[in-house]
Amino acid sequence: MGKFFELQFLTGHIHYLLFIVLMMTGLFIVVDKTNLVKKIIGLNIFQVSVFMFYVSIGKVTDGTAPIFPMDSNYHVDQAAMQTILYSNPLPHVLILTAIVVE
Amino acid sequence: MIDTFTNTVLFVMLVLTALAIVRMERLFAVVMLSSVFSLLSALLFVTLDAVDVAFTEAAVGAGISTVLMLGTIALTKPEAKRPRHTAFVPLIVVCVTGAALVYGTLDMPAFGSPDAPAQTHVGPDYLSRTPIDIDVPNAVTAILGSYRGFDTLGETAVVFTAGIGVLLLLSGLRRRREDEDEEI
Amino acid sequence: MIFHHLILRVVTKLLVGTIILFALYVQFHGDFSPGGGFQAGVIMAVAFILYGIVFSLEAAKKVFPEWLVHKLSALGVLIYAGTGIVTMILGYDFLDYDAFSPLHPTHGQHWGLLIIEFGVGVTVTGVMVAIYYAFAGRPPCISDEEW
Repeated sequence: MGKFFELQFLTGHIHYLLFIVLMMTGLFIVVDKTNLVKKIIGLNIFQVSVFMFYVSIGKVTDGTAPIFPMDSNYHVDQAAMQTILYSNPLPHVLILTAIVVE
Repeated sequence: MIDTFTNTVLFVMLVLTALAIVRMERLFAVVMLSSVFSLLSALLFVTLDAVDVAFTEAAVGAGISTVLMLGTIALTKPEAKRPRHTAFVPLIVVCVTGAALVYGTLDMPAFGSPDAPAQTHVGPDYLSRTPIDIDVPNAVTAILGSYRGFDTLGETAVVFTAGIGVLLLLSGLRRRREDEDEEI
Repeated sequence: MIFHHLILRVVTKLLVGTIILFALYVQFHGDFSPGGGFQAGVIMAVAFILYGIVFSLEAAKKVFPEWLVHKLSALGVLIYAGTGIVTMILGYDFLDYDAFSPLHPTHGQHWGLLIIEFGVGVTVTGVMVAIYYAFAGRPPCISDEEW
């Protein structure tokens, strides 16, 4: 129980709490308001914060966007790409599908 | 250092926009604020290294969604009625759900850790295989189109079906109204 | 028939061409920079919707008639699934783009990605414009002064 209040644990997990705050704001608009347009916008807020929660799982510290450098022949520069740290592209793919479908 | 500062500022603006949407009653302002919310969340996606997702969110959320919402409130009234009940029970529900979710995230991996389970199996494998198999610089397009192309076919079919559904619902009503006018 | 302010009409006429050009850029550079079919389809739809908002809905329907919108939405899915069928006819698996150039598989993959992203872009454009036509075609309940 004590390890939950160490500084390293808190700084590594504070973003989950922040995204849950946004989710709960969206949920509050859906539950409390009676106007249908406001309910839909509250659902939109909930949806976007769920996407942010999911994409933050794929982030690697000091990583960059998963786009490889090109050489002069418009192919991927395989020598240069080995030295760069990339973020995980798989959550981005899944969330792209989710955004368009919703 | 500047990274954390950017994230914090963006996040505070997001929370303020969401709280303003909760309090406002005039629907035009609420729709405009939701467009601002989508744009700010697109910026936050960029700081999370998800540039394709940010592009799509800005285009779909701040573009199409706003236009369709404005079209909707042009067909209904421009003010929302103030709710007659107190906000006590929804607040309790929301707090309980939030506490349960926070309890669920306690044993999730820390932010950006390279040895999280999400980074160990398929992700780095796709990243290393893409220059050899497909030779395309944008890894997200390569995964979307080639490694997971079947899912994208299903997604396109879903977009098409949604379009057909909207057309069925909205234009059928117009024809019935035109028939009634002809009878009169 | 409402004529909007002169500045709105002139700026829209300048912007619509630029927006369509940007949509085509995002579509065909989806392999090299962030982009792809979905984003390009939405941006192209925004160009037509902007034209329909500033000039009237009838003017937009004259440029992009309704029957064409409905056919295009279906055509995109057909292109995508058709690519899969073509690769099956050529002897490979469904949606295995190595079939397009068996000697250089990476070129085949690049061709396959271009074709399916084009199909996706066409469908998304068609669906977004169709939804806008369905919404804007209904008579509004509040007049322009109440905005």
